[in-house]
Amino acid sequence: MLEGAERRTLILDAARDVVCERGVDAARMADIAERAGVSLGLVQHYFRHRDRLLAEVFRLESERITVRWRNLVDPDADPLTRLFEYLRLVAREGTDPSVRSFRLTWSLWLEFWSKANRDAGVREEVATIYREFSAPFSDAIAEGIERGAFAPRSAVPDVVDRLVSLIDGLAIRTLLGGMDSRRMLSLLVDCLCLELGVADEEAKRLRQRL
Amino acid sequence: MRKKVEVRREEILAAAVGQVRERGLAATRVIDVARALGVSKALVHYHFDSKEKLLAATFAYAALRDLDSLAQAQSSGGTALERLWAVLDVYAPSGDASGWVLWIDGWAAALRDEHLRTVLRDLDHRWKDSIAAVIGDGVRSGEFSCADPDGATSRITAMLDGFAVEQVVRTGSSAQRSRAWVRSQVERELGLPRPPAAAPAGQPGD
Repeated sequence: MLEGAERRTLILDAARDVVCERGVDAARMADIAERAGVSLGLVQHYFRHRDRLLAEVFRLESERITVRWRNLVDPDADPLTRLFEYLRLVAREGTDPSVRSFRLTWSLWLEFWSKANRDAGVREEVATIYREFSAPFSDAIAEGIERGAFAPRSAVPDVVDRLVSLIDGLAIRTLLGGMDSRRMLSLLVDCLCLELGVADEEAKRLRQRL
Repeated sequence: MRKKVEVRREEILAAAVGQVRERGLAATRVIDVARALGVSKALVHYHFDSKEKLLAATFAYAALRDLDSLAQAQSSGGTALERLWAVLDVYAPSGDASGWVLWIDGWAAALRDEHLRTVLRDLDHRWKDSIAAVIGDGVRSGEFSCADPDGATSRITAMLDGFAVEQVVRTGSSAQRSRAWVRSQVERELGLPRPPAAAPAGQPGD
């Protein structure tokens, strides 16, 4: 018998897969229960209603990303290397098997955006997730400035917001088939170097790792 | 009185754009479009025999309207930089950014809809080609200094989409802030001198 927490996770994972396959509007509680191999009553017992279940799906996925970043990026590495590693994870160029495919991860975010389009509550949730997602970038950039390695022309929050916007825009193109993830990473690294005023030889060293 | 087929088709598509913006792509039904126009469901079905075909045509229609504005901006004359701003003003989220609601829905739906994916990808190429052409003009005339015009174009267009996501679904930041960011991004990418303190109060800290 599965423990309660495991059953919850099982349902949340099933919900995530159904949302990715059919879209957030078409994902019904009954479909999710069927995918998880549990009764509809059990899904309702844990999550009461659909919106709450979906909110938890998004929350769990964003928590997993945060944990992955913590585990996969060396906190003692220099700031530029850390930023590069974050971008590599975003573009899914790594080979770590614990990293879900680019398409699955990003299709969930696109569904989330689409839901946020018409729901102020979801927009709040998205804003919170983006703040968490931005924090490692902000920390690394602030540390780099302190060490004299970066000389951005803009305030740190602006640099981070632009970088995050570029990540989103490039991910859309990659998902629609107009770009591959190598190209995505290369464009992100160029933007990073441009924004942070990274010295040429440092930038060159970074590009060699692409 | 019977309306001409093309006129009727266009009316249906314009109504569908409105319905999709309001209700979302997945939730828009043929009957909603018919009601918005005050016509029968059968009439809509006469012009578009499935909901999928109606929705794909709706995106193509919205895209064409945008491309008309793009063509106007491109032929507006002036320096390469002036034309670039004109093109980017058409592209970038402005006002209430309601136009972007449609595209944000479209991106998600396109993951499961090959036809829509092709429509969106083609549209993206058209925009990218237009912006690349203006940047190319500016590089040749010496107005811009840019070692990688293709990369700069990709970054500028992608960042604009990302700003739209930010504006519409994240924190709802203002169109003015987005525009200021686009400008500073373009200045960086194209090696333009920073304009002397012409920035109005309330611009982002850069």
